[in-house]
Amino acid sequence: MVSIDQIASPRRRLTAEGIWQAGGFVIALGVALPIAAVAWIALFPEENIWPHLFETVLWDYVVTTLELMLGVAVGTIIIGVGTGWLVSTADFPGRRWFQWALMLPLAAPTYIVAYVYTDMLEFAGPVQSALRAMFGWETVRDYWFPDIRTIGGAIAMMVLTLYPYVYLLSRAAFLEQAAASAEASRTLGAGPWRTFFRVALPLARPAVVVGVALALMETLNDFGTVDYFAVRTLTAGVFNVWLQMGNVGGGAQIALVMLGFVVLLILLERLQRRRRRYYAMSMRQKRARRRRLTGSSAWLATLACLAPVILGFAVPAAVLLRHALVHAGESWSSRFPEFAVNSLLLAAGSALLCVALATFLAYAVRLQGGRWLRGAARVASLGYAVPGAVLAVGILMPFGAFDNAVDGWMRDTFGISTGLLLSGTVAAVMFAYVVRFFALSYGSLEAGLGRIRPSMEMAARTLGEGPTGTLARVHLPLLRGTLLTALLLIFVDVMKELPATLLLRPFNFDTLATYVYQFGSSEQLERSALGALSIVIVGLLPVILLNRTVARDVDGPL
Amino acid sequence: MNTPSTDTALAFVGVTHRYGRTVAVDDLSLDVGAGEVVCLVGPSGCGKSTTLRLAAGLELLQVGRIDIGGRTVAGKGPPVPPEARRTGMVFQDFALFPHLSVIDNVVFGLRDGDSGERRRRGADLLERVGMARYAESYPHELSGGEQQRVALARALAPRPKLMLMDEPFSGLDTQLRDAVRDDTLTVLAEARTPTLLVTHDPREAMRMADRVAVLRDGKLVQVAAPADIYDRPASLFVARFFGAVNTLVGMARDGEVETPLGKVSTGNKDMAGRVVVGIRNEGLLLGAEGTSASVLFSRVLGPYSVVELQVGGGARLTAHIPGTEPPEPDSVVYVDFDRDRAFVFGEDTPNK
Repeated sequence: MVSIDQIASPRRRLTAEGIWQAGGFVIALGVALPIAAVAWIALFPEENIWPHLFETVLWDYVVTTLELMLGVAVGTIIIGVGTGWLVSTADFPGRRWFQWALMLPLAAPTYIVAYVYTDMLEFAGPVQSALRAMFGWETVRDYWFPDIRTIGGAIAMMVLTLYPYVYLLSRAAFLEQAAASAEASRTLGAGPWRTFFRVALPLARPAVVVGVALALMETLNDFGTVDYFAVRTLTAGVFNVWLQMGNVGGGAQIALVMLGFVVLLILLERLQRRRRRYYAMSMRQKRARRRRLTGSSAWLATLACLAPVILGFAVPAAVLLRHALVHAGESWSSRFPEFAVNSLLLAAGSALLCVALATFLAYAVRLQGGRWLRGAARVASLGYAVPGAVLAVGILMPFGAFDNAVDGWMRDTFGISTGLLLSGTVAAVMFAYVVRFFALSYGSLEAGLGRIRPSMEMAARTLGEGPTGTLARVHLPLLRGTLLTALLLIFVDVMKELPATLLLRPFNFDTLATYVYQFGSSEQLERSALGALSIVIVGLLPVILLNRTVARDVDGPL
Repeated sequence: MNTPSTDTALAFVGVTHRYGRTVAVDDLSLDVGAGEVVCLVGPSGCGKSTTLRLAAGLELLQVGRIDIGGRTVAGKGPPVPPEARRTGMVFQDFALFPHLSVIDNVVFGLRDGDSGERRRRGADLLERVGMARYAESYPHELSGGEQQRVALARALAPRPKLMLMDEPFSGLDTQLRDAVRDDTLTVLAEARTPTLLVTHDPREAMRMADRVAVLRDGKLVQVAAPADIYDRPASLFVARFFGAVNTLVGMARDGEVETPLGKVSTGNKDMAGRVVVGIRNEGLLLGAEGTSASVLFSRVLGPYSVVELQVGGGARLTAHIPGTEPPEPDSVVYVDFDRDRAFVFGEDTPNK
């Protein structure tokens, strides 16, 4: 078939296509800038603190990060694959409801869940108080109770909020599997468990790995939880070395180590995504019939699905709701509306900007499709895997250098100091969001454009419409759903984002997320409850959206 | 041929196009005259769609020159982008914009006049293709044939200097196809729009074209009116492409070839050595005269009957004969042939 990049473009200066291509490059390079900056600063630091880092904290950070990642991987696989397998291959009470309810924990950012559980489980919290009242214990010495503010607690919090990634992908993989392979296994004498381990799981493995890779990227990104639990991960290290020790180069070097982790995760993810194709069946094959569970096994299955939903969503949401109602006075600070407006404007603005830039680049790639532009677009899409703290380092460095250069030049030339133009402004924060969530919008736009047949724009072009007009009159109307979805997803992610916002925000500027962090991390959950609850409610929007896609899968032929 | 003539709606001059190492179009030169319908036909992968897209500007010209309406659009100076070539194009999948109503699809390419005038022009075209009732419908509500009509109206609306059609009927049911083809021809003739139509279907080419251009492996092998293509094919490939052919090998001498069925004139005194004689299946005549042959197999196909024959010397032949009472298997018949349905090709002529 005709591919769209074969559409001819006149090779002369200042054609519409030329502008699209140049613009595409500018966007791709701009989005890739922070990553390049981190690498640059880390490799050519002003003072070489590599040896010092190696001798002191780096090893500690790396080991802690690896432990955390390992724990999160194991936990999300057990919960995610287990529940995904249950809802896609078995019938038990509540199965239809669990299909989407299991995604609910996606709504709450990990740090908020961590604040809630600490609030509940600490010495003065309701759980321990109740235990003491029940058994007549009085002091800490009278009984043993697990301390949540440990690496184990951090793993638990992350597993509870991140398992939906693994659940979503493995469920889809189990649904895709042909009935034939499971049936063949059963007729060859393997029971359901053996079939699961020998056939279904290996077939679903690429999807599971992709899900785990996504969960681990979020793990690397997390700052709120590890900061609160004093778990010394690499992200905590960036904050620590940068803010506490004031050593930016050192922060960048730790950031580079994190980039190494990220690259490994991306490779893992890409490799498995590519393999998925070979594992997926053609849509015509019959889907496996779900096995009806009865008696205790049915109720065990219900319980297994209920627990993560209760622990990951219902409990935190209920606690926040109660705090927000009971402590309405403390929760409603006079500055709450200001923070909410900040969050909304930032989220809306960044989402619009991000989607607009991604649309531009995706369309430029579709028009031109040159190898270089495609490569640049791919690099620009790496931002989703780069932790917010690393991005912040990569943005502040070039912005600071730019500000200093402009300031110096202006002072020398005109005797005026321009001060900080970019760093410490809302523009820097938005830039970070655009870079971090660019892949999300670019990926959706690319897929959306891919669904538009090339003959559409060929028709528009032969009817006298140029490339820009074709985008406006044909593609954008056809992409409306895709654009709205991308806007919504980015909007919500920006609302939840913490580390980059903390590092880049202007002085005395707060969003709901930083406000929740500020009071949550100082054990004043009641004051941050309203903000946290707002974030969780907004976070429900994409879950509802996903629910529709999932429902479509379910209503399909079985 | 080197200066663009205003009578020529479209001219390819020495056009060559490669994808990587594959040569898709090889030194092609072809004209479409004013008001003429030319069908570019050939097996799939012969380069015909590439040729069409080069004309539309959807593909960047590499070698040669393309003129539309007497103006060079590619090959000299910067190429004219597709939107400025004033060509109308009808696509295999019709490519109607799904988010626009039928009337909005038709007026998409109109620039001049206010929206009232444009809508009148659009309504007029819908009337002409018999789709006026569907102006407010959306493409997904239409059948394939209806979509095709709308696509035609849309392409004609901006009064293109040239119409390009890429397998425009292959998405339609066989039963519908002939009717839509004839209607399309009527509409094109009314608008007097010169047309280059690409198809892989030889019957369609014969039905639609004023002239048929046969393309094989990127090379034009023959350009002629449908009757000439059928009666005077330039090669065995062309002969076979438009209808079933029996082949016999013989030696040419003094302008004649001896075949198991008798002598055939080569039409060329210089032809000598081994030659291939092609006789159309319907050119074989079964009757009281000619060479005796035994019937191996016969079947009634409806419009004609098919008879498999074996002549002395072992040559097998297939005859298409009128009527529904073919000779029985194992009977002996006499075979002659219509000299106008037999062609002689030298062995160097590319054949299958």
